[in-house]
Amino acid sequence: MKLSCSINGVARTIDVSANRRTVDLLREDLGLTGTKEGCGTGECGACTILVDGRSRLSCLMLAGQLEGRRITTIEGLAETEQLHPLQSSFVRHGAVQCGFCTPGMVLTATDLLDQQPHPDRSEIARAISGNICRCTGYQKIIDAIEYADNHSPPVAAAPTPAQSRQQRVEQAHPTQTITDRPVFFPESIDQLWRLIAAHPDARLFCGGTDLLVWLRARRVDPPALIGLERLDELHTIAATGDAIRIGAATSHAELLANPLITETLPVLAQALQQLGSPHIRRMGTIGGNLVTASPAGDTLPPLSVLDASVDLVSADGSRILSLTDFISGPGTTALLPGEILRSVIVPLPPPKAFHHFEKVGLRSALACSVASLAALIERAQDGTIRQVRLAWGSVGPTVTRLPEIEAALRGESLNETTFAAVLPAVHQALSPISDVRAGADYRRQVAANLLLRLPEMLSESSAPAQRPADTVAASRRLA
Amino acid sequence: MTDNDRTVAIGESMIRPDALTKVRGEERFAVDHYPSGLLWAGVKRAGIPHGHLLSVVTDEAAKIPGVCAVLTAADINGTNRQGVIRKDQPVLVDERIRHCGDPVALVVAETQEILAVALEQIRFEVEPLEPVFDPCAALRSDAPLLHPDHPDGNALFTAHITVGAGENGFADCAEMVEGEFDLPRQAHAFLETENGWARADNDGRVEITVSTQTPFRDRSEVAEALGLSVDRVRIIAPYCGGAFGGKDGITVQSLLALAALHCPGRPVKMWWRREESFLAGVKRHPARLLYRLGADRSGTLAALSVEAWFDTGPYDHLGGVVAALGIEHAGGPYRIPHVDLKTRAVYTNNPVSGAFRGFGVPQVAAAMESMMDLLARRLQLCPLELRRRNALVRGDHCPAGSTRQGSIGLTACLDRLATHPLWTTREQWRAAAGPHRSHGTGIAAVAHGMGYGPLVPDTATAAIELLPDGRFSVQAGVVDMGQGNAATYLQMAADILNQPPDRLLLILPDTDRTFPCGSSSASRTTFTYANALIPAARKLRELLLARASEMMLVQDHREMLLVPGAVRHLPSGRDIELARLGSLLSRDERFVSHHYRAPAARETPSDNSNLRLHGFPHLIFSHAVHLARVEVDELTGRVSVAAYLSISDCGRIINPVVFSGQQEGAVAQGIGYALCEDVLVDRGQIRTADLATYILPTSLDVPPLETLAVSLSEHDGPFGLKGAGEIGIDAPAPALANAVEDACSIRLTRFPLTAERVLGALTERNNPRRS
Repeated sequence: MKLSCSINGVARTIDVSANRRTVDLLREDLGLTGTKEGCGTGECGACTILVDGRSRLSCLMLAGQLEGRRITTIEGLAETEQLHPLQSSFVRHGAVQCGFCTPGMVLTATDLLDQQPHPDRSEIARAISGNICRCTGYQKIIDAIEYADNHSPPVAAAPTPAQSRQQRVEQAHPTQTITDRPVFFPESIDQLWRLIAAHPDARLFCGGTDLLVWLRARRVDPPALIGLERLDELHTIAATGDAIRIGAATSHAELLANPLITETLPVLAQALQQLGSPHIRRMGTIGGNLVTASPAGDTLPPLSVLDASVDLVSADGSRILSLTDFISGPGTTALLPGEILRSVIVPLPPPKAFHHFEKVGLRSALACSVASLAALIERAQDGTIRQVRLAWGSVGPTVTRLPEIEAALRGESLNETTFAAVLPAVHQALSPISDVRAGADYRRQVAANLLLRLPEMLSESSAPAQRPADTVAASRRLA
Repeated sequence: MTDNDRTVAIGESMIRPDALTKVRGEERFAVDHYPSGLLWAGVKRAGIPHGHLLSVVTDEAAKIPGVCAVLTAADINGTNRQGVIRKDQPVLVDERIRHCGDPVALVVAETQEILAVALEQIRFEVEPLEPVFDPCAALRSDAPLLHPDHPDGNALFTAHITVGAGENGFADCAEMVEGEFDLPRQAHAFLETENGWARADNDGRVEITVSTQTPFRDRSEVAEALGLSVDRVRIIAPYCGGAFGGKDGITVQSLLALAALHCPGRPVKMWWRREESFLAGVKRHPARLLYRLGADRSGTLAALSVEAWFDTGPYDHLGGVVAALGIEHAGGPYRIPHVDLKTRAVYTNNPVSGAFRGFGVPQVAAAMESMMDLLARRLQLCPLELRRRNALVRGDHCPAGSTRQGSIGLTACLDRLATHPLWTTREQWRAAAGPHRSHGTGIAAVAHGMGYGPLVPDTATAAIELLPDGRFSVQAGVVDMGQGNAATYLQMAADILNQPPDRLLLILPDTDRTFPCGSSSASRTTFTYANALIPAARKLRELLLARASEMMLVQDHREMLLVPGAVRHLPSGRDIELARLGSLLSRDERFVSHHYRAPAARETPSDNSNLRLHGFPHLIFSHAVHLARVEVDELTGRVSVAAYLSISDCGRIINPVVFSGQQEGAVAQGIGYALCEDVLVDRGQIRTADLATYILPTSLDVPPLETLAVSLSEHDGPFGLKGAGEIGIDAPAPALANAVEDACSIRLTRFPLTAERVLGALTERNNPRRS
C-alpha cells in the first residue's frame, strides 16, 4: 500500500505492506532504531511510540493503522538541538542505564505530561506500569518524570543529531515480506459488509492486542484482516433511557475517561483500571475483550454483574444476546460468520448500589488475572443485603455466577460472618484449572476469600468521597 | 548532576555521556544495525531434553528460494566446543542433544519470513535418551550421564571445605537451627535479547558486532570452536541493552561467524526472539541448600554446616565458579569457628544455568540470612543484635577459612541501620496493618567478593591518548552493559587531566582497537580497569606537562598545570593549547597504556587446587545491610513491599547517582527474585517462555528505595572504591522472607515467595492439623 502519514513532523508517503508491523516499518524500513523491541507481545513497552500524541505499542500495530496519523518516535521528540525537557530530566536524574527501555519510557512520560502536567509519584508509577525497566528499579525514572518541568535545565544535545537522523533513513534497507496479507480498514458499515462478502475468511480485529500476538506466534494465519477501528458508530458511548450503550470499538482508556462510565458503572471502571497496562488499555477495546472471551477477561465479571447484553449485527440484521448466551466457553462466542459485535448494552444499575471489583494477579500491572471478583450489592434500609450479584473470573471456563450463593446472602447482615458462612459452599461450587500462573486450589481458595473483603470495602464506601476503584494507588499511599 | 562541559571531580554526580545518546534513541546497540544486503540467520532447536542426534535432513529447507545456507555440525572445522572452564557446549549439536534449546541446524535466508519457513522444514532423527532433571537424582550412580567423557559423571564441580572442627563444632552448641531452602531459576530478562551481526570478507576474516560482556574471550572461543586463527576474528561490542551476566560468554557469536563465513561479503544478522532467549539463553542456577547453624546461648555463632546443589543444566557455563563463589559466601559475613561446607554443580537436562549478577551468592544469602533470623527467634534475640555480635571485622577468618584483609564496613552499616527510621518505627508499622493484612520488617546482611580469585589473572590494559585536536581518547576494552562504568572511566580521566568530560572520547570495546580488559563481571569491571586507567592518565599528564614545559622553555614542569583545553604555566599564566600540543607530538609521545593485575589472595585455606582454579578465595569484599518493609494480604497471600532500604559498604563512591542506580536496580531484580520470578520447567520444557508468564516487577511492584552508603576507602581500590554491581541483589530475598515471618509468623524456605505459597503457609498456620 501507499501509506501516507506524518513521521516526526515530516509528511511521508511510504510504500509498505499494510500487514507489516509498525515496529519493523520504523526500525528496518525507515532506520528509526530508537524504537526498540523487547518482547513483540506488548508486555515490555520498549517499542512505545506516539500516534497522534498518544502512546501506542508499535509491536502491536500494523502499518495500515498509521494511515493519516501523526507518528512521533524518540528521534523526533526534541524539536531543536536541545533535548526535550523530559529527555534532559532523564539524563540529569540518572534514569538511563542500559538505555533500551529509555525511548519507550520517555515517550510514555511525554503522553502522561501532556494529559496531566503535574502528576504525583503514584500517578507516574501507574502511567509507566506498562514499560518494563530491568536496570533502574524505576525510582530514578519516576524522579525524572516528577521533576521534568522544574529541576531540569536543558542539556546540550549529543553531537550531530540532525545529520545522523537523515543518514539513518538513507542507510535503511527494508527486508521485504513474502506474506503480503491484505488489511482493510472500512470507514462505513456498508463498506464492511462488502469486504466481509469479498473476504469471507478474513479475520476481524479491533485493538489488535490479542490478534497481533497470535499472528506473531503463528497461532492464526488468516488470508486477510479487517480492522474495525475506523467505524465511527462502534465508538459511541450513549445513555439510552434505562441503559448505557457502549460501541464495541471503544477502548478501555476511552471508557475510563468517560464520566458516564466511571460514575454510573464503577465496577466496570475498577476492572478497567487494572486491565493490562496503560498502553493495552489505550489500544484494547471492550468489544475485543468480549469476543476474545478469555476466562481471564477483565471486563467479563463486571459486565456480568451489570447484566449486560450484546448487540450483534450482520448484513442481514441484528440480534441481542445476554452475555451468558454470547460467551459459550473459553475463547468461543455465539458470533456467526459475517456478524460483528456492535455494542454492549449495560442496564443502569440500581442507584446507591455498592460496586466492587478485585483482581488477584501475579503483579500489580500487566497482570493476567488468577482470580477476580465483581460484586454489585444493594442494601436495604436496615443495612442488610437486599440484592447481591457476584461474578468470578479465571475460576472456570468463563465468568462464574453462583445464584445459590447470591440467594443465601440475601437478607443477611453485611458483615464478615455472613460472607465467611458461605465460603465452604463457594469452594464447593468453583472448578478452576491449574496452569502456569496458579494452581486450582489456590484459585478456589482466593476466589472465595475475596468475599471477605466486601464488608471492609462496604464500610469504606459509606465513608464520604473516595475516588472509585483506585485501589492500586490507594494501597501505595498506604505504603 | 554536573554537566559534561565543565570539569568534574571524583565523588560528583557527573552526567553519563551515554545517557545523552540513549535518551535520543541515537545510541546504536548491536541490534540497531541493518546494513545493506542483510541476511537473517536462525537456529533450529532440539525441542527434546536428551537424545542421540542421528541425522539432520536439510534438503527441503535448502531448496526454498531465498535460503542461502543450511548448516550443521558437519560444516564446522574447529572443535565445535565452547565454554570458559570446561569447553563442553557444541556450537551445533554433533552427536548428543542435552537440552531442549540445543541448536541442531543453522539457516541463513534473505528475509525473516523465509528463515521462519525454512526452519520449519528442517527434520532430524533422534534416538531419545533417558533425561535427568533433578540435581540430586543426577548424582546417583544409575543416573544417565550427560557427558560420558567427564571423569566425575554428572558432578561438574564438587568442593568440600572444613574449618575448625567442622561438623563436630555442633557438639558444643547450646542452640541449633536447621533449614532446607529452594531457590528458583531466574531469567536475566534484559530488554535487548541476544543478537549480533557479522560479515566475513573474502579472505575469511570475520567481524562480529554483538551484544556481549566478554569481547576478548568471545574472540578466542569463536576462533577455537570454528577452527580459525584468533586474528581472523574481530569482535565489536557496543553498549549492551542489559546483560547482568547473561551475555558473559557465547550466545550468537559462533553461529553468526559460521553463517557469515558461508555467505562471504553479506552481512548476517541473528536476533533471538524473547521466547528463544528464554529457551536458549542462560539463567541463574536453581539451588537446593541444607543448612544447620549453631550458637551458644548468648548468640555467638559456633558452627555451620551447608550442603549445596546447584543445577547447572547441560553445560559448564561457569557453573563450577558459581558453585565455588556460593560456598565461599555460604556462611555470610560472620565469624563462625567450626564450619563444614559442601557444594556441587550438577549437570542436568534442564536449561543452561550460568552467570547472573550475584553469581551463587543470592542463593546462599537467602538461606544464611533466613537462618540468622531463625536463630535470633530461637534465642529471643533481636535479629540486628545477633548480626552485630557476629559481624566480621578486618583480620577475622571468614566462615570458609580465609582471612579478611580488605576494608569491612559491615558494622558501620549495621549501626547506621539501627538508627534509621524504617528500623526504629517498625512497631508502628506493624500496628498500622488494616483488616486481613499484616505488616512486618526484615533485614539481611551480606558480603560479596570481587574479582576472579587467586589463579585466573584479573587484568586490564587501559590506554589513553591526546588526540591532535586536543581531546583525549580513552580506550576501554571492557563492556558497559548499562551500569555506567564507561562514564566512570571518563570521570576519573577527566579528574586526573582536569578536563571537562566532553573533551574526552571513549573508544568502546573492539578487539582491533582496544586492549584486553577482561569481562564485565564479578564486580571487578571498574576496580580492575580503573586501576589500569589511573596510572595511564597520570603518566600522560606528567608527559604532557614535561613536553609543554620544554616548549615553553620552563625549567620545572611542576610549575605547569593542565587546565581545560590547555597546559598553563602558573607563574606566568601563559598557556599552550592542547590542540597545539597534540599536533606537535608524534602519536608515540602522546599515547600511554598501562597494564594492571588485581591483587589476589595468597593464603591457601583449602588444598583443593580445583577450588582455587574456580576462584576461591577472594581478597576484597563489599558489604551491605538491607531492610524491607512488607504488607502481607492474608486473603490472597500477596506480599507487597512498602519500603526498602539498602546501606552499603562499597568503598569510596565515585559517582553517587551511578552508585545508587546500581543498588536500586539490583534491589528491584532482587525483589523479583524473592517474590515472583521463576522460570518454570517441566521435564526440560520451559513453561514461562515469554514476558506474559515470566513475571518481572513493574513500576507498581517496586517500592520507594532508599540507598545509603558508608563511604570507607579501600586501600587497593581505584580512588578507594570496591565493587558495587552485584551486592545489591544478594540481600533482598532473605530480607523479604524475614519481613514476611515478622509480619505473620510463617517461614517460607522455597523461593519465590509467591502469593500461592504464602497463602498456603498462612492456611497451615491457621489450621496446623490440615495437611
